[in-house]
Amino acid sequence: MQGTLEAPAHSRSLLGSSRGRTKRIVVYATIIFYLFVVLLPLYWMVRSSIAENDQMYGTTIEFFPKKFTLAQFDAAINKWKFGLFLSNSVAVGLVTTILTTVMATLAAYSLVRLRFPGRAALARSVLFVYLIPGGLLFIPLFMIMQRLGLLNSQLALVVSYQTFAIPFCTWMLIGYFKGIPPEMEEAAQIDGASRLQSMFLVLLPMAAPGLVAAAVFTFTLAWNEFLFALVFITSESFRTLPVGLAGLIRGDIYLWGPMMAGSVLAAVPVMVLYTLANRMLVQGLAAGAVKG
Amino acid sequence: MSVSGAVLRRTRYNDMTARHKEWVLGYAMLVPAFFFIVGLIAYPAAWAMYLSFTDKVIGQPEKFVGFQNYVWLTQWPNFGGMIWNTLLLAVVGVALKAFVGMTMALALNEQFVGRTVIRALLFLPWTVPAFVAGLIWRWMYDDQNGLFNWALMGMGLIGEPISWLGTTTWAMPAVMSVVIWKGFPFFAIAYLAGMQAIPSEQYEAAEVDGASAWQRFLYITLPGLRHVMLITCMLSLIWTANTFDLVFIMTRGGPSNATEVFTMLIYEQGIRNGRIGEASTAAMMAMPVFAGLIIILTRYLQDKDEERA
Repeated sequence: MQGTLEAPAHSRSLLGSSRGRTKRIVVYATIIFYLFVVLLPLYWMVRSSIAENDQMYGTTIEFFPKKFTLAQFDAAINKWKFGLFLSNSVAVGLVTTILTTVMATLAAYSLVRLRFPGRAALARSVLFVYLIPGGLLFIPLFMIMQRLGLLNSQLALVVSYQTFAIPFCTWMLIGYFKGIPPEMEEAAQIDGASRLQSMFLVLLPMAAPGLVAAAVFTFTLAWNEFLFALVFITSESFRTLPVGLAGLIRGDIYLWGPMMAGSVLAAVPVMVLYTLANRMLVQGLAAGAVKG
Repeated sequence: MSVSGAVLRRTRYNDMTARHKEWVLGYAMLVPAFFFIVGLIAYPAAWAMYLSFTDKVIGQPEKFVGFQNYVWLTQWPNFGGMIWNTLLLAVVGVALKAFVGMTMALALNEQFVGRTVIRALLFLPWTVPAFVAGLIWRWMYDDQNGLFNWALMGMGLIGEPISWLGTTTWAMPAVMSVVIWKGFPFFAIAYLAGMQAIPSEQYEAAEVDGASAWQRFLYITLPGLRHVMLITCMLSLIWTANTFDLVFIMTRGGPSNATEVFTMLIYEQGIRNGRIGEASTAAMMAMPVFAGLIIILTRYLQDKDEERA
């Protein structure tokens, strides 16, 4: 599992071995250039979150500031309601993830292990539905939320997030369940276990890493979602992080310090989770794409 | 004979009931997920189609107006510009992401010190939430205190600050730079995985035959990556054509519609102006394009999946 992205020890070179030195220089130069491009914005976010205001605005900007402060974090949390947005985001993310994972697990098991008419078409529709962009759906969803009286409540977000969370999570779990040989479950059923028992007691424990990865990704999808959160929530007290933070962009006052502090707090947990769980997703994608 | 016949019949009968039981269980387990899928995707999509033929405004009853919205939208002065912006962002953005991702994957496929750590670092933009990426870059592009103007002026390359996000020349390239920064690691990951699945014998044989590095790339690496390239490009095309949060945070479609993409138009019309009919029409006109892309991609992925099994 872990090794798939590693090149084998005897890794061949794409660029030839005859001119080894030139090649190595090109490779290192490319890597250094990309490292710079990738890390510069991230450095600037972190720097701006701990720099003092006089090093951010005006003529005294320093690339490496000599003094640091936690005042930007303090302002983000205590003055600009970051704590509130954070707790809203956590609540919406957790409820969405739990609901989605349960429903997606049932659906994926059914689509992978059970045989019934229409199964293939339904499995295909899951992927189809996942790819439908939210930009096409938010107007009618807005109308539905209005009709259901859910506008401006966190329930509107939990419900609307199912539109991408369920298909995504189901699709991921389908791939994962397929990779687990059914023999163990069949053995359990011969020994008298029911279908559901064999699923809960045999398959799901084996699929635990896949379930965790699917849940993590579902959570980050909800955590990062911007459009529905912008449209369905109108009062500040229900805002989630993305819209709450973006709301600090105000014409004449500069709030970039607190905004960058908020960005650090919003991005770091997701970046850590993603980096840890990324292999799973890439593998699913690569397995489908590469081995064809 | 008669005994085994009875057994056979019994088994067949049991098979039948077992099979029907499996059907029932199979459908039952799909009910919760598909309740949401149908209720929140199929039903709204159908409703949007109906609304696109009405003059619906938030808070007022609608009436049927035929193709009036479609005519209005196509005659809207910035209609062509909006389509151009969306296409530009999606097509050029995806092409550049694919190019940068390919060069990075080629470099990462080589042996060098600290490769594992560097690879993890280079993939970081993919893990950054889009709204955070938008905020960071908007701050770096800031005309008064942004990093870019500060650095360029410090180096004496420009005399006075450039209003990156406030001029029609620079706004689209600025937005696109973020789209590329955030998106290219996805391509690099996929291409790297694809490169490592190409059997090394092919390269050895080519080298024996005297193929140059460029020839090996052209005749072995590229063909070996064609499935990955097709899938990543199509996925990314769908996502990028649907960009909203980056544009909203960085420019809100401005200045003077220079970055107005179709999602911004739908938002402005539908939510800001409350004109649901026109907004639904814009969504409906984009629908066939996305549906076509999605159908092709879904078919393709499914076929690959069946080949694998």
